[in-house]
Amino acid sequence: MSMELATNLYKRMPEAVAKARKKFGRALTLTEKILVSHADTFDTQVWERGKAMLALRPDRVAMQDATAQMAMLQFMQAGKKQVAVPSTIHCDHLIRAQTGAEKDLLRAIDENQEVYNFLASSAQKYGIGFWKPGAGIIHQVVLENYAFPGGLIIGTDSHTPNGGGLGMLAVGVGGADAGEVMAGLPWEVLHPKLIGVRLTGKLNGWASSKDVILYLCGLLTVKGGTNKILEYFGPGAEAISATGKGTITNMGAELGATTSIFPFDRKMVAYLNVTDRADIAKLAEANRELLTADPDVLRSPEKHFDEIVEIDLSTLEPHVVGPHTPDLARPISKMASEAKEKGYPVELKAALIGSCTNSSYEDIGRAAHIARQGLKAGLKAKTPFLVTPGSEGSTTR
Amino acid sequence: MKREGFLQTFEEMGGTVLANACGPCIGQWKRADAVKGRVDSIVSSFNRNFPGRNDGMNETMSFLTSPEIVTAYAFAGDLTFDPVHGTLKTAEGKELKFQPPQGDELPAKGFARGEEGYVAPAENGDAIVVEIPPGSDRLQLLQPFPRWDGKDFIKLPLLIKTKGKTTTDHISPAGPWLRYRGHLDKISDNMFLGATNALYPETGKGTDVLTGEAGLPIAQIARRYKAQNIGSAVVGDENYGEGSSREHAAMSPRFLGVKVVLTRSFARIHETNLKKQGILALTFADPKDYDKIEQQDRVSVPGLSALAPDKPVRVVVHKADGSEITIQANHSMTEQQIGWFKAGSALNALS
Repeated sequence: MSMELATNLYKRMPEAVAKARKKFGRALTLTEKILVSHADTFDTQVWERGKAMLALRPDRVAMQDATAQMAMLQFMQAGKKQVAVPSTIHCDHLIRAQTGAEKDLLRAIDENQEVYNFLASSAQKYGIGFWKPGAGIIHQVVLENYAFPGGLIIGTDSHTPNGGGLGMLAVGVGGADAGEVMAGLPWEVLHPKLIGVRLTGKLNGWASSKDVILYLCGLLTVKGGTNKILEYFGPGAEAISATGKGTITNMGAELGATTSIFPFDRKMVAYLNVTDRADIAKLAEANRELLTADPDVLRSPEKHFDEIVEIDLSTLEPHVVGPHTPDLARPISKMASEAKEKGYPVELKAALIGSCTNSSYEDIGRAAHIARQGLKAGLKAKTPFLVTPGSEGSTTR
Repeated sequence: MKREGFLQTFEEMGGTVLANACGPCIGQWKRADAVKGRVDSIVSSFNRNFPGRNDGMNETMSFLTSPEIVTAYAFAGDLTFDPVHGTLKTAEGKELKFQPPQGDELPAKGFARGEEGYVAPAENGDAIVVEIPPGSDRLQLLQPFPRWDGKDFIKLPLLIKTKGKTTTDHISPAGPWLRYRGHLDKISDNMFLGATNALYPETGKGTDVLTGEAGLPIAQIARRYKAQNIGSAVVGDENYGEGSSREHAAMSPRFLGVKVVLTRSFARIHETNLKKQGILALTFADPKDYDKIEQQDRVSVPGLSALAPDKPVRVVVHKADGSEITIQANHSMTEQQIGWFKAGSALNALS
């Protein structure tokens, strides 16, 4: 569904990137390559990080059902016949978990009938793709169907940055921004500063992609990413699966970051192939130079990023964060003593897995591996254990 | 996943599989065992754990970790269990030490994909009618906000002078109001319900200066002014409008007749949102002038037809005793944004 968008983008990128290298007088990070290629007007745009407002032309708009209501109402006010930018609506937020998949879905359809009817009919009328209730969580559906390396997508949900796992800039916005972009206005955002995150080594044992971002939450705090983009790079990046990258960029929102992004690599190729998008994978491979940072950025990152963080994945421990805030982080080996010291109730009343940030095939497979070990030893869950799959696609695999 | 039997495995261990949706991760969870006021712990592989985020209980201590660790925790039922180093007692009294989790990154057989649940748009949507039931309390078509009438703002009553932190959630609270997020008229009853009024002791309330009646919700006062076709002014403190980008925090004031918001400073996104909805967003050139504003003051903004980028604006404050003070104010509008103000909104400027 995004082949045409990718083709057009990769055609115009070389000129924009060359122009920017000349204007800035230096090599470009991946983030900058994507920003300059989506500028409304490159020449009149002021390119000053942390100061200038950027006017950009996103490739796509994605909306969830709660925020889509006002976005669509505002779009309709503009009196346009069709949306100016490819757009989709995803019904995932209004379904309340209570008894289990089937009954919860039926109840949601009953309770929210008029909202769903409104969204479905307006989508039909104005040229918007509509994903019905139960079809999946917006960020999973976007990653599986719409995300492509080098793209710029805005979504009316704070965890839109999940798409960064496929090498795109995916940014969460309010409904008004979405409505305006669909009506044909450029999207305005403060030119973010850049945090470079250099990954080395390889995750092993119990450590997972989740621990990369939980560790960063503890390190940078919930304000550490405000008006910044986190760009990951280094040999460790390529050792993480595309969906694992998505987990990391998704939760970049917890740092307050505008978004987070990984450079295009073979893990993304594998993911595009397995989600029936071998055509985009091939095209992206032919344009790899546009979809990764320039070599000088990797050689001398300090010249290109406003801040740099280094993480050795080989020595990263599994982390637990909380309660009440994601930046209260510690390795799991310290959890017991801290719980006793701070008086956290140690009995767990519920354990929940899944959601948009952790429901990939890899996540669920690793969790099931633990589940099978417990079952084999004759154990059952001691606490209510709830599983939220990410998308219809992932449950019928 | 069904093919691999993953979900069946979780059900065998006593788990419940929920719908492919956000559910507990965004608080859409009717947790059966939750007791208001009781502190207890839950653990998930989600991304947010703010108080009340998952089950609506502010007391619940919510911890986040990876799905594999959560699964191990589910067997233990205990936050002090360390699956990496510790062991669990089995039914036969043996000790189980978990092996580190393993799993393929992607399914070897590929995905059994389909476009289940997807509806493509119509080729030609002209004949399609957007469905909004008459009398709906959840959805309401938006009418374009009126264009600026070319006249200066003269002697606007002061609707509220907010004090301290005024986030978008104070201006347009969420919770039960989210049900009405598609109905501007309805949701506007929440306007300023969470805001501290420097000129009235109760949160979210103020004084109708036309009748002198005090202790009314701000939205009700605004509706009274609106019914008489009288605009109003809002004065705010530092970093006014911080928090989420919720557009209702700018749309409701616009809908209920607020013409100008004058603050010590704005949060950037909210300032833009105000401009987009056609509200004049001004900041005190001297933040101390904030202290000069009183309940009975009327606010005038002359010279609006001469609005220009980087050119300060004069605000005249008419005191109850008939005296006047003039305050310097700044705006951050570009030429294009002045166009939004004149058109009545950014969207009006487009059509």
